[in-house]
Amino acid sequence: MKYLSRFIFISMFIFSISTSKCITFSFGDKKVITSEEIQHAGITRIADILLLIDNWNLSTIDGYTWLANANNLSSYQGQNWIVILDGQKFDLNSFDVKILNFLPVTIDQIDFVEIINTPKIYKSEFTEKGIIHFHTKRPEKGFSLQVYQMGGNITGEPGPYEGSEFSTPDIQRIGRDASYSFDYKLNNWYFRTYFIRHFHPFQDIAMIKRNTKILEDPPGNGSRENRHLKLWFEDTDRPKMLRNSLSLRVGKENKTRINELQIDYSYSYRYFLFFKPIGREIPVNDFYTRIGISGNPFISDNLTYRFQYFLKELEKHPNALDFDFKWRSHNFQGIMEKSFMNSFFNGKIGIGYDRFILDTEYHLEKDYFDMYRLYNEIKFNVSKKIYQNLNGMLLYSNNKTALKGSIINFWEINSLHSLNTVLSYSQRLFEEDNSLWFWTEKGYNILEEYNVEYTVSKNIDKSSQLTFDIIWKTAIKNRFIIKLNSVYRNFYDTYIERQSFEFNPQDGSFSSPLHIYAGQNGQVLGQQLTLTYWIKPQIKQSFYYSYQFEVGEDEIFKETWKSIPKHKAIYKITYSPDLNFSIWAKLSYLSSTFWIDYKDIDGQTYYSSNEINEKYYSTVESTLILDLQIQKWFWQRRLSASLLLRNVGDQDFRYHPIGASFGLTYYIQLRLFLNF
Amino acid sequence: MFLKKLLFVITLYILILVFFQCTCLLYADRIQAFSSINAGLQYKLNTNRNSFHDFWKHDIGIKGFIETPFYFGCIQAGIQMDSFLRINYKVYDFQTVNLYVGWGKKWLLPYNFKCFTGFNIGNALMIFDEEKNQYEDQYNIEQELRTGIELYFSIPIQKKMDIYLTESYSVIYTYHRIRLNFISVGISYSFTTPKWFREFMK
Repeated sequence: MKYLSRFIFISMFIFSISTSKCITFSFGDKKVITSEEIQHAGITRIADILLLIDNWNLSTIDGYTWLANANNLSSYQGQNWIVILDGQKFDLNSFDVKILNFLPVTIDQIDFVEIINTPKIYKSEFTEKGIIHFHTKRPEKGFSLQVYQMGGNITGEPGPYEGSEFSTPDIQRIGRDASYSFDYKLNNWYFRTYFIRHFHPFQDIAMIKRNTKILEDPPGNGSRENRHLKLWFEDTDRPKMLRNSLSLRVGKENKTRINELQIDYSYSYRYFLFFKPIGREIPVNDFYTRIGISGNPFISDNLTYRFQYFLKELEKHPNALDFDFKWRSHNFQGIMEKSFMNSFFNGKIGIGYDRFILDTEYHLEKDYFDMYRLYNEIKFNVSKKIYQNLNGMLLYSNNKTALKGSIINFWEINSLHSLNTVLSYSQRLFEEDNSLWFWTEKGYNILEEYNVEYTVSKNIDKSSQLTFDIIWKTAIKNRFIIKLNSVYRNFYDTYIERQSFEFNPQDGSFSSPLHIYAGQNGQVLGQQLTLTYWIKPQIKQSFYYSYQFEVGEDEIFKETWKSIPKHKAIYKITYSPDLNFSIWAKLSYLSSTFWIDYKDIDGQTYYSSNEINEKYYSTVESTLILDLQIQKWFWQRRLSASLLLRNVGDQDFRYHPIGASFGLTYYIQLRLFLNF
Repeated sequence: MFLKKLLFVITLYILILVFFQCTCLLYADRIQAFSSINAGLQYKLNTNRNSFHDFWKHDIGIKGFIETPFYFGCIQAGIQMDSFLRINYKVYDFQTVNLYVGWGKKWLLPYNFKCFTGFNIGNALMIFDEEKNQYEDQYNIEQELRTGIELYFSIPIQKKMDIYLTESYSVIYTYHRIRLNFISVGISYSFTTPKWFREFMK
């Protein structure tokens, strides 16, 4: 592997002197989701956008926080896919959970979303685990105001039967989420501010039970906190989360340059963080502040800079376990990038610096780490119809280096057919994961304090991966597009967590010792087919099918990968007979998955009554789900109303063995756009 | 099991295609859309009996609606109010207020008779008797999804007035589904849509 990585690096610089004309299109597997698609598809929160990425597999426990497997670049362990908002990377991880809904942006401000599914350099990051980049709309001249309101409900309330022999547990409403955005633009200057509020109550009986038990503050105890919360929560004893965030953007733009100052503040009150080592959710108050600047300095249009400071804290929320993460982190990031173009090739070269500091009560061997990066990307064409992109990155931290690089070829076979190949090799430092295990090694002794038994089979060192993708695409009369992807992934020296949970029926919690198997290898092969067809300009339909399977001899790796569906099929249709009216439907099939960590809870009853007898199973059964949305605009597209139905067939459907069951759910969304 | 699901997928796919192909054939009529309004009021009678009726009996039901031509077919928006009296003392009296929207197709019959078939979807607010709130620490309001299908015949009695006879079936998606069948009679009045309202709808 060492030789291969050197080969990629050296070849990149050798090829950079090849002769060619300049090219600007994108290489590799990229998906773009437009604001129109987002509105048609009934997206209620930012993280729901993940549901529109066909080749990302998803799992969730609470319906608010999503685990993603981006185009088979990782399993659900190691949520290291990257989130970028207008060029700035956002660290939304709390241990191995990435909370995309904490991104400070409203749905209606999104112009488009770029998803990079194959490894390459993108916005100074190497996309070895996938990237999702949210681009916001540019403010329009004058004043503009946007208001968004959303409310939903999972069906299955006891209704009038409550109190009778047919009574069943009560189910709470979803949300009453809201966002308000205000823009002002005068000449080249603009100002934007927005406020976002999320309400997320748990709907699932088992989750309500285990999370009600852990909340220390019982209903109506008269405490000052409870009186205050009554305004927001109505019944404070039910496990619910409230998130408020406020953001500010000030910038100056002209034809070639944009310089922007960004300030974000987010406070999530009583977020139930699923902390896998102890097998349950812990209520925390998650808080972050971010200050960033980005743009093009006046000395050169080809130079870009991005700097940001990120302060994050997991503040203790009163809980029965008295669990306190004692986690406060400071992160500084700086990037300088220069793009170049001549008659032979174009590309960019950049440098970056990261410092991460952990402020905790635990005594750490070293409470920070620095990371330096140097990267380069070159695009040119080898012949008239073959274009090539060579990119590489050198990363340095704590006296260790990691090399990352990829070679991407784009062959325009003829006007109908094209072929894309992506070969990548990347090493990954332990520091890059910035995980619980990295900090545990440095002395963050939270597991010992809360008596979690854990063992590590051998030292965790840098891991690596080799990937190969081949993508064939054809377009027939621009109405019918066929895309066929083959993917190969080979992971080396990766570490895998393994637990064997037991269920505690008293409080609905789970417990298990934890073992980390370091130095694991594994391979994955997959095939994906996408068909897109416009029956008429008003009707677009698409079909997606993927099949993936793990190969090799490493049982630990293979068992972990069984939590990813082998088969996945999605059919989507959008019908817009008029600009101001649309119907959207999505039918998805996911094959069954097996979760090895939960094999000992098979058949355990978590809720029993005259009417309901619910049990846990380590196998999540295959599902077929139909989602449907109807949207109508009013008042010359100033006002919009939509009705979204998820799981129309009301299947007993879940993404995770101990996660919520998502029955038929309906959402109503209202939007108001005013320009002065 | 797999075959069953496969059959379900194929059936759904065909249904979706048939639905969209049909609507595609119905040319989107942007000129006629929202050109007139038909407003009506009806009195409802519950006609079916199931396990729900072991606990409650339907007392009074009324329905008010407006109907206007859409890009294809007609859309409806309305409110239905029903009152249910308990016949089992383990439960409480309640009223439902159902705000709904619907879509359907109107067919012209001989002698200016009209027939309408369609479906609707709405939010059923269940408002409980104060007695429940007094004895239990619970909300006195619950809400739930409600869907329905509808068939009506209208008979003209004047140029702009019609008498309605409606058969409707609705399901409230509580854990134990509440399935209700109604026969309604009522009257409606048609008029040209005010310009401001037409502009708003577009």
